[in-house]
Amino acid sequence: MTELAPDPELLPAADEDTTLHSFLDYYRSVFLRKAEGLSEAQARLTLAPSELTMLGLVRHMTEVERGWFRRRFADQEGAPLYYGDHDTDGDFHPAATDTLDDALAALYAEIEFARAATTGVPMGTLAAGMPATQRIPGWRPTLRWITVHMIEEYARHCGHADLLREAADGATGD
Amino acid sequence: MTELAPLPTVRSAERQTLEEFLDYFRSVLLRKADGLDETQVRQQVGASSIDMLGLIRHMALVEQSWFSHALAGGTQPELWADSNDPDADWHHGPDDTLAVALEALHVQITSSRAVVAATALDDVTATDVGPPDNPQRFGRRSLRWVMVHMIEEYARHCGHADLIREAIDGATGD
Repeated sequence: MTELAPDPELLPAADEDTTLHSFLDYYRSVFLRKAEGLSEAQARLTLAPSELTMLGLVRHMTEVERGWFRRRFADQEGAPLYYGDHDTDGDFHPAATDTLDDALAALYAEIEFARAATTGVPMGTLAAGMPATQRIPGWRPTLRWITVHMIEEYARHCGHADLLREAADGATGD
Repeated sequence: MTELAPLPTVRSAERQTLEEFLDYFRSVLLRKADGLDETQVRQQVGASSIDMLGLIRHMALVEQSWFSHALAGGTQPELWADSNDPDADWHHGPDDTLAVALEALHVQITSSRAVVAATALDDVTATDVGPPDNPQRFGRRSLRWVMVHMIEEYARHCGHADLIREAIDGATGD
């Protein structure tokens, strides 16, 4: 079970780097805890008509970490794991044989990469690489923008996870 | 119909980045409530007791609490206050309306923006906040902390609103 990361409340007046990293790591831990301990059936529970599942969300956040930190910020190779021409939303569409454990292991690995790639890096640093499919010429965000985006991306999906987890086993909160 | 705020610019300084992300998610949440009737705003999903009317009332109180009260030191009466119910923002009655809740949220957002404009990111709240019985968490927090917290607070509740709104009428996205 992932330990809940130190609550940002313990760093109530820190500098920008510390504040953004602490909120992002906090939300990563909240998200992981929403998924951990679910059975394969619970990880596939939906709240119709939405097709979101916890397993789909875990796979999605792996792609999001990979896309922003590995491919764009660090400019390293890292083809999508779950989506492609066969299904552009493949992260949300696990097969019957896909497991939550495998999905979580992939997410832990991407989080480790992202932490290593960003620790101590100034927030004004520009992403080193942008994908060939980038539609807006010259569009290149700072680490600041990417980090704030990741905080709200995790937080919003934690909102989805709140309702999915409560429906699965009644668990609420962080 | 609430206009969606512009997507946050990708190479801006800290303050502008935080203000733009917060305004973006304010607009997303407001749009999730657009056009709903008094029955729809009371619809719940799965096992959760959250509904859109509660979310709008809650965010009006959160805006007031952090910006008008904590940062600006204001003493306006607390929204929705009920001495018998600390969660009165969530517990609306049959006569409470979406129109009144939205008006309160719009008023608070306008006040909050004025407070932010008059406050430096390193300035701290006028009073101690947090649980008084927990010295590690009870203290003054910077505007920077409050801004990042509000972004994730809105984003997480937008996640709740995503599933609620989709269940009401199928609408998804920002």
